[in-house]
Amino acid sequence: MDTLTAGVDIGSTTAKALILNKHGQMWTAIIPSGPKPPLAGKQVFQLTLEKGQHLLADIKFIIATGYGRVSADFANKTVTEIACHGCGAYFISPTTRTIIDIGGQDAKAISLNEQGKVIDFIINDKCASGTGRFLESAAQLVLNVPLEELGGLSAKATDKATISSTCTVFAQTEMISLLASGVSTENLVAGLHSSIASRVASMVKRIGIRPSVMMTGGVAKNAGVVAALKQELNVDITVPSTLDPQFVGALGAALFAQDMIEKGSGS
Amino acid sequence: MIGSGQPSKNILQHLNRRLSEEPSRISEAKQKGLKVIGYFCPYIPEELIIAAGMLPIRLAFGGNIEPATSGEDFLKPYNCPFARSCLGYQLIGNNDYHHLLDAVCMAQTCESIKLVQEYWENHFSIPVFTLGLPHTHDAFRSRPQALEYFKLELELLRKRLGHFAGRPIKNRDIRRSISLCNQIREKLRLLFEYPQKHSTPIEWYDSFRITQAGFLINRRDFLTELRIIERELAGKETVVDGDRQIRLMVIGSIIGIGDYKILDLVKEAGGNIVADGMCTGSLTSRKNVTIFGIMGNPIDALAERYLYNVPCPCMTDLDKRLNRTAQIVHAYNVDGVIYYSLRFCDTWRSEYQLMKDYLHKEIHIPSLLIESDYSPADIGTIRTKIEAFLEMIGGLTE
Amino acid sequence: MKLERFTEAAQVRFDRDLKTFPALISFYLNAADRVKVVGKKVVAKGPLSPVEVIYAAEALAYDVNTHNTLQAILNGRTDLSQHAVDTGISPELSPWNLVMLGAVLSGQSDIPIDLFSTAFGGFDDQLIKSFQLVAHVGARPLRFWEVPKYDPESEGWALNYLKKELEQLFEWMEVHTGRKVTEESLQRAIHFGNLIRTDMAELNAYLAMVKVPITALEYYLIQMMMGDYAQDPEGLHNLFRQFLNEINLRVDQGKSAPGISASPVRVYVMGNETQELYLYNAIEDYGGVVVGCDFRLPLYYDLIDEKALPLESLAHWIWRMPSNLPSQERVRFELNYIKKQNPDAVIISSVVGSRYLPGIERLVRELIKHELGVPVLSIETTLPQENVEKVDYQIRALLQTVGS
Repeated sequence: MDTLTAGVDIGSTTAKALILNKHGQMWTAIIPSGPKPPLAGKQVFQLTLEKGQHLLADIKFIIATGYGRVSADFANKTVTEIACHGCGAYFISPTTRTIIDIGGQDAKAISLNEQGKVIDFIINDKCASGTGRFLESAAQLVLNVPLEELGGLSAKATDKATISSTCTVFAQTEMISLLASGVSTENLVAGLHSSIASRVASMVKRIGIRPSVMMTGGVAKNAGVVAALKQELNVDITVPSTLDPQFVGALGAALFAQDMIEKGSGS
Repeated sequence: MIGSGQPSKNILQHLNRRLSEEPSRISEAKQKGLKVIGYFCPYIPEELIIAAGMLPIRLAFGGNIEPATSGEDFLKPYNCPFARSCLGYQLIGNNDYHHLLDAVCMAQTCESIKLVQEYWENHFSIPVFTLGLPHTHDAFRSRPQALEYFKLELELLRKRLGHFAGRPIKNRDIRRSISLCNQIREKLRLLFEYPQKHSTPIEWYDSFRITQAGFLINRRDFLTELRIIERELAGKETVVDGDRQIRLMVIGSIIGIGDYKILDLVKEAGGNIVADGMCTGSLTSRKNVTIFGIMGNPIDALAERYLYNVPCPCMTDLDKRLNRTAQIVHAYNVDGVIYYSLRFCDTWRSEYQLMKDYLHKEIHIPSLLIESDYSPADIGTIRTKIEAFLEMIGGLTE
Repeated sequence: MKLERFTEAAQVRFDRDLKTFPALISFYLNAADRVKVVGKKVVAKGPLSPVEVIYAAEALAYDVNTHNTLQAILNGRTDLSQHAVDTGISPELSPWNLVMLGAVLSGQSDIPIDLFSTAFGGFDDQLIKSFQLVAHVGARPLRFWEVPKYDPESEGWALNYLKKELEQLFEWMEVHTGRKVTEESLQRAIHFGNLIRTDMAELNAYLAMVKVPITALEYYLIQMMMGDYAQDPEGLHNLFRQFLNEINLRVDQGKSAPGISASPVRVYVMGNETQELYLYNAIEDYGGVVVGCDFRLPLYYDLIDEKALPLESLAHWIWRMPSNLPSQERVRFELNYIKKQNPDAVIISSVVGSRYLPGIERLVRELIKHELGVPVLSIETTLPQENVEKVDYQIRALLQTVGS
């Protein structure tokens, strides 16, 4: 019988679940969190079970992480997304020492030691302009393009527009007037990426940049932001290729769940 | 009643009952002529107020967003929430103690307190007695002029308080109140010392709340309450087995009565606070007032003790704070330090990086910065930060 | 350093007809040249910390906040505060401190600093803590010296305390500069400081005239120079004289400064000095004229008495600096100055991140309204060029209301 564990990462924007077996095989699902994150947690877990055609009884240990973990009553234990991202990133690449996670509503920088343990972390939750929300609102309200296309657009930029406002609201106004004055969408998106990169870079500098650096979370799928961050920090940044970066937290949770079983804390 | 809604422990039951009666007791006593003197910072010697036959109340209330927002009638949103709160409580009057005040004493500590003082003088009819305070915490005694200045300021305060009380404050009355306050301090110190051991009959949380009750209760009665608690503890079994819990020290900006958000989150996350460096916690009871000789001047003794306690960051001498923190971490076997900076508290916030680096490099202890105010909006993120910190220190085995 | 470059970088307008101003502003901003030549120790100080105590030890006073921030604004540099935040400093500090911290911590301060020494006394905690931080990180000697709070009943022992603090400060300066502070050196420093104060008094008198011969931005920048006498009191005084002579010529010719309307609304500006220099241009654009600012007033509020013993005079003068008074008394005292300038309106500026002045703004506003009976505009600004729109419509609204 294969030992299966599950990690459920209930974020404020999306809920992710990952089921893991001892051979490293994974099943994943992702849905928007919607207005009721705990419900989304249950649903996405259910979806993942169905994907792998597993039964709930087969899952030996479930760990919930993320913003909505506290109310995930179906989980055996909760662990913060800090530890989970650390664990997941280290599993994917054991040379990882710095993790940058830009989520929907916050951004985190995590520092690991050689054994993959978290030794320091910063969470930026005060300012929206260093988070996925900044990109989302710009894409929706200003540029009217799907979020997924931002990366491609900035790649075609001929120049980088300067968005000087540090506040999301004022930045949006600024972007609208830049567009009106003839700045191309591509160049504006490049400026947008640069803006978010400098907020995030500041946070990472506070914790210290130690290679290798990995980016996780939804925004890691935006090649434009990754490139802008590489430039700001002057360091190479890897993005997981074997797994969608949004699942790194859930992976870490599932890995911790394996540890729990081995140490005999299974329920 | 002090507490965060959790059921009162046996130890605190009697005290809490007494505390709930206090406002009405004070009202009654006021009708018989008692004057109530409020103060904010622990640089004001309570002994002077008690010696004048008046009741000192430390106005250290916090944790509520309503008075902090009312305070914006005077201050800006980017001024300290505690300062806004002090003014807000006085303005809206929904605090049991603020409306009992006959006067307040204000030491010139930080700018935020100075703002409270100036608005208080201008808007509230309650008189303000100020105390000049040197800002050099002169650990090596190379600035004797600071102590001289402080002594004379205390004499002036004594004169002003005496005038307000209707009779000059006599030396022998100051000696008596020093004796009373010393006894209180000794008993409180013992309470804070228990958690040094892993098996302790009283948690730090309770010692903290007991200390805060002592800001409000008539001091003679408070001493009686402390004796009751002492007797309770003498026969008590271990309450908390601290062996497997992560031991924490909390330092930072003032944690007022009611500002328990961070403390409660730490407890919920499974952390065990065993020590503190708070001016509303163990620092109030640290160090007695020592009068040298029968003919020693009690004002000199007060100046010595109050100026040379562990300094608030409104004072310079960062080193004393760093050393003291390291001492306590060592004595209490602390695993991590929680550094709670009130938002816009420049004096504490500015020292965080220095404290963090010092603790990390010198004694390999991690620290966590939590910046917050009295709004409940950041509970989720703070919970994550604390949990992640505990995971980081203790690993995930449980 | 050309004015054209500043104009473009900072998006501000200077008075191009003033021939002597470029030399003056260059002199101030070229601190680096002066330091190389003279070879004296540089002592960093806070903006309102008394200047003479440093010159008395034959050292160079350096108002590190003002220099670095003006350099940053006039050269359009927006990255320095970010350096500070990157080291873990709170981004919620006043931009004046953030820029200073960023500049010094990243080694980009315009002159290297040997010592840190500034007055303190329960005001501007943020500045004190910033100094504590940079001195610690840069491993530089640091000495704070206390100015006890003003309280008439404490005068005797407060002045004793202050005098002893000054004496010890001088001993400390001697250890670190190798020069002894003597009665003569202190007297000399006081004398040159008074010359500059006299120049400022003359300048203020010009602002009190019906036809104001100086524009706001230039006046504001000159006032900033009071913070450290540009490391060369004598040199600064000479340049001031030339400047004042040129202004005097305008007065003789019955001219106001260019860009000032015929019957302008007279505006007095107080509170936090703003980094949004556009404010000064906007006042003139919309029909106003600046008749005074109080940002550095405590440094020249009165002459230091040269007839009494220098230490005595200095202590008396320092203790009564307006910045050391409780705000109610401070404002009442300032009103003597303000009334001379005959304002039609007052602007109280707050900078987000500063604590005391924005906090006390309501009290000041009520007092000014009550005593002067003129409209008061409270304006809040942040980083340079972030507040242009807001400043624009608020100033326009104020001046149109008052002007009508």
